[in-house]
Amino acid sequence: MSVPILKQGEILIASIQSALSDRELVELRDELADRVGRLRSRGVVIDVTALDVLDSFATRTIRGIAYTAKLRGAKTVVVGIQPEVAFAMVQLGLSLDGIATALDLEEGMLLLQRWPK
Amino acid sequence: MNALCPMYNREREIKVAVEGERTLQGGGARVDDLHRIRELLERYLSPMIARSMLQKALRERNLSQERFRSGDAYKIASLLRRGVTLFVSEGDRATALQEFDALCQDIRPSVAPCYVNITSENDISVVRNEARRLCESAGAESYAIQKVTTIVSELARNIVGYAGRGKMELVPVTDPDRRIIVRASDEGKGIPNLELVLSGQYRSKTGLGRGLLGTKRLADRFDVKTGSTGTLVVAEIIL
Repeated sequence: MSVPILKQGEILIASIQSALSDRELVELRDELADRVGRLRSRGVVIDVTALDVLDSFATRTIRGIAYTAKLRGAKTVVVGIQPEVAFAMVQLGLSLDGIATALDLEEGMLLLQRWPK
Repeated sequence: MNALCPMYNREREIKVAVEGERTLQGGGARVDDLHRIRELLERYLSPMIARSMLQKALRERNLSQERFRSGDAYKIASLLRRGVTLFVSEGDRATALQEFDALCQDIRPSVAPCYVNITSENDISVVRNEARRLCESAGAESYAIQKVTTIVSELARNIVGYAGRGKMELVPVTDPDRRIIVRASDEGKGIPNLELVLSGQYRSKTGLGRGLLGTKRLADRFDVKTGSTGTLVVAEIIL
């Protein structure tokens, strides 16, 4: 597993360190779905600060992670989308509709903690 | 004074480096380019503004005098053009820009085109990294780099997902405008419903269909030729 997943209280933090291959992204999805159940987590933060490209596949997989986590009872926040990446996503017509986003890890954690239970 | 004012100190160092380096071997020609930019700026701007513009550009491009390589001067030049537009007085502006563009033309590095065979999913990130490297050496700005790398990523993924294998070519062109041409070709079965895909109505099960439409949206020029013996997608991005 190339993405470290940290546990902080009821929140899981997946910090993507480098550009991931498609297989690694899918692995991350499965691993998170599993851990949400095992560790009884209520929130997931996916930190994509280090990703230099979010193309249609990556966006779709991240959306998949968020929906999977939701069905398992956890809320997901995507943090750290870089300005250039956001710009390209808009131009590409990609969106993360219905998925919470925050500027960085700190904001994302705050958002999850304030979320009504 | 230097101890109290580190900024000033650094500026002096750069100046010394620029002038001292010319006598050194190897780095001479490269730093000479930087010197030419500086001379031009100082002809139209106060030395202080010229210096701080140059420094800001060095910082923004993550460059330093010590690690100055050929092509770096051009990277800086592409950032400085806006400063010339903004700070040179209106009367001199047209001439200054003309001279500046001529200088840029002169110091522009020639960037070799790049070819990558796409045979597996791993090649997607290989070609993406190549695209980034090529854009950077062509002096592209971050948003343009982002467009190119995203397009390259989408097209490479389409090759892997649909045709299995194919080729990608990245060709930097400077005439008439500075741009990168991305060619993705494969010998797969072709795209049967191209019009539908490009209309945006199409949703493939794998989500791959959106990539082509996205590429069309991101690119400044876009063309697809597809048939039962293969597909060629050409996308051009102006830098």
